[in-house]
Amino acid sequence: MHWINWIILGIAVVLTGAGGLAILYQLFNGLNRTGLNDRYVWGLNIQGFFTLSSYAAGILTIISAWILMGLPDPGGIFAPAGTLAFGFLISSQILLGSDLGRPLRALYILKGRNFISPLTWDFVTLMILTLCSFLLMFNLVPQNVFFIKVWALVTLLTSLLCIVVHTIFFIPKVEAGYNSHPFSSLDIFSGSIWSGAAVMVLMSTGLDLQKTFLGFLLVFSIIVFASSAGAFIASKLGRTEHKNIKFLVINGVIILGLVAENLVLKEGLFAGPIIAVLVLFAVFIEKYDLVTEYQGKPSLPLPYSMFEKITPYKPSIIELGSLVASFSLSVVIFYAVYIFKLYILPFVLSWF
Amino acid sequence: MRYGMVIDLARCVGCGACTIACRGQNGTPAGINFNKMKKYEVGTYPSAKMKAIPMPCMHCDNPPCLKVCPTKATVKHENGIVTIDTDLCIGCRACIIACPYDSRQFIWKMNNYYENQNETPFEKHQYKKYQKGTVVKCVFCIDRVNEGLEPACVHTCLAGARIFGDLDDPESEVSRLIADHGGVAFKAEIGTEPCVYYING
Repeated sequence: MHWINWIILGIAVVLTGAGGLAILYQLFNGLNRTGLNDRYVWGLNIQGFFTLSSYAAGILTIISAWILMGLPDPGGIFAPAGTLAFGFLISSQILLGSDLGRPLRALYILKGRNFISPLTWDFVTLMILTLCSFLLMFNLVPQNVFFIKVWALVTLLTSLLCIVVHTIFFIPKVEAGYNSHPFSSLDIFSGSIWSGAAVMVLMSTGLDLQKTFLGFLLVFSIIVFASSAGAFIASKLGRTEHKNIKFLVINGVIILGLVAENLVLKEGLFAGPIIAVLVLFAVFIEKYDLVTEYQGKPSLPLPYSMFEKITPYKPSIIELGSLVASFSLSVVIFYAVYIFKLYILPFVLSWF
Repeated sequence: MRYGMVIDLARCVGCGACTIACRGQNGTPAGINFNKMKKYEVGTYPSAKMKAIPMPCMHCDNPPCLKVCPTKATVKHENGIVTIDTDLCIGCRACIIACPYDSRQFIWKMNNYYENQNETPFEKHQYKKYQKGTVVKCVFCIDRVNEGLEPACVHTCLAGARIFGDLDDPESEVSRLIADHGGVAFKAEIGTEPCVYYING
């Protein structure tokens, strides 16, 4: 393994260890020290959860769609990408668990079996995706066209369901009408697949294949940009406050970067990975606008909400620690599996 | 049977007695308020007026909070009252996000009314039914209702602005008031079918 990877792993381990204390604190004490309040009941933890699960669903959507189209694994990057998806899924679930008021009751979801609850479906889809990514990670899917296609179909449908489920949390709170709902299905889906393409760009660093994924990234960036720019114009024409301007600006920078990478930089050293990381950051920002900023709006119409005091939301150090730990844990899991497969597994197998 | 409430806004003087009665009856920890009183202003200076609108839980016939609860901790009783089983609540707060009326609250911390002092005997007794890290809401004083009494807020309203009864019975006072005065439910257009109606607003 290259020394840069060891440095990245070392940093990730330290961050996971330090931030992990925050997660443990939340898991055993509930939501004791947060910036949340009666107005902002969901904050950084849920934003991180939506982001990580969106990344994972995006990666698995691209891989499964690729397989269903009958295309071969390009350069053997599916297993490492699946490992990263696995890491994102585990981290997202830990983050969600630590955000519960009563974390030790989390398994009551299984007992409740309320299949009209989006959270139940979130739980189910995340479990299935974790299993699917585990199978992909260790190449455990039987190498037979039928089984591989079944795996791909199940993964694709579950990834899409997981993304769709995230679009229905806020539905009862808003009135019918275009763009009144913060979680538009197309936005969420394109954001997820966009981040999936970004991870593929990262995974294919150093391979000729990266150009293909950068092309995908450009296409998805344009789709996401068109969607968010349309919402921006609609809100301007409708004279309503637009919530997603930061996301739109970052998106514009990404498109410019991708075009520059293609036209000017040509063999740019790290342009692709840098743009990919920026895409992942943009998806994180998008979730902030959707999850956190949206809650700042009063639920009741005027004039009934005219004197409503809105306490601002400032994430606490515990929330920041949990978020950092969950992201770095994904990296630790990725490298841990890589090291296991590279050094430990061959050693174990040699015994048999 | 479907219990509901009519709030006569012409009679409501915004005194907040209902809120105090609610707190007394339910023994809610400090900071937790089942019966919110929203103040708002009508008209323009110099003839502007301050008005109040009480906002209990709407006990919707089609409650979004019940649908989103993954553990079935939110329960709708046969009489239409929506309650929460605290022992099943995992504190995910999806119901708070789903409620269009801000009727639910999360217990971030069990606060006493007298800061930096121990719980009073009343608080000690009443707080047994609440758990930190769970969600709470107005339960239409279901224990009182089961005994044939009115909810505490209705009983205590000095202006008689709150009327409680069976919405399914066309002869009940609530049904009659809604029919005669054109009762309006909050955000009815989103399909939650609230059981709290406002008249003379």
